[in-house]
Amino acid sequence: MKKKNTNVIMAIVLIIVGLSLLIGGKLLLDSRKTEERLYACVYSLTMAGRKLVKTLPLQEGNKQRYNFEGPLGVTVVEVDGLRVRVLSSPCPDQVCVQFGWLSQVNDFSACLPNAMMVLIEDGKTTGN
Amino acid sequence: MTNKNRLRNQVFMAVLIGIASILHVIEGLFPPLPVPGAKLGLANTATLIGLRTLGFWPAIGISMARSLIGGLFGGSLFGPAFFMSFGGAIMSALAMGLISKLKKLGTNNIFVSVIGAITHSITQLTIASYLIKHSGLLYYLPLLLGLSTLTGVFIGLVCDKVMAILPAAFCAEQKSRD
Repeated sequence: MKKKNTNVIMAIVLIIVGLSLLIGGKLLLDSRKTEERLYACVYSLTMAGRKLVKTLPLQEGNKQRYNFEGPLGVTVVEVDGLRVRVLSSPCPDQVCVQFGWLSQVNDFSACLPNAMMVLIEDGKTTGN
Repeated sequence: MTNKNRLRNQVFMAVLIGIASILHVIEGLFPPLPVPGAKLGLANTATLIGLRTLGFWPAIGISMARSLIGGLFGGSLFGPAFFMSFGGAIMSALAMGLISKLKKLGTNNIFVSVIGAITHSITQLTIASYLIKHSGLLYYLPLLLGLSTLTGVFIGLVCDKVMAILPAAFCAEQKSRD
């Protein structure tokens, strides 16, 4: 009986901790809004480091698709105004597509199988 | 340990590895959680049960074997995603093994599984930051920690339920060893 009680207390405490971390984490992610012009930087990933492939400026009214060749095939990146996403990828796990729309500084979507990363940067850090 | 016990433990470990590998693969088919790349950690139940019934080293063996076999099934063997899963699995098994040596808290499945889940996500985030050479990933750390705490509680509860219906012989083994 005693073990059951500790379990319940443990579960409740940890669930509260977990939920507050979730909310805190969400707030942290939302706190990055800036007015600056942002860029979506597309990198290719190698064991030696990442290499800038293309810089796509994010501005109103700019709707375009770009194809990038990786080791597995073509990754399609879609820019729609102030946001960008990985539209399709040849990788098996599709994590990069699940990242969805990116619109804030440091938002990223990485595809390890196809060695590709999209990262949002402001003018200062572009290309670093 | 008698020969009979030894055989039984080997068979049990093999069964746990099989279950873990299958859970590892099935988990990949689930609809994604709100954080990309995050998973429930179902395969961790097998590691935790292995830890409770067979001991420290078998549990680490189970987690290594299941990421190898899971990587083979999933087609990501020796790719970057494999190293993330392998590293995460081993580190979380190690952390759970060490934590479970604690006198009071160590016997609580929920606590141990949460520690395992947190270690898993920190390890994976570290490996991922290294692979993509960018520290912006750390923004996701609180979100990931929160999520892994919740999934850890869930996995701990599942383990409790499973342990309750395991044949008493396995749980007796654990008691005699402590």
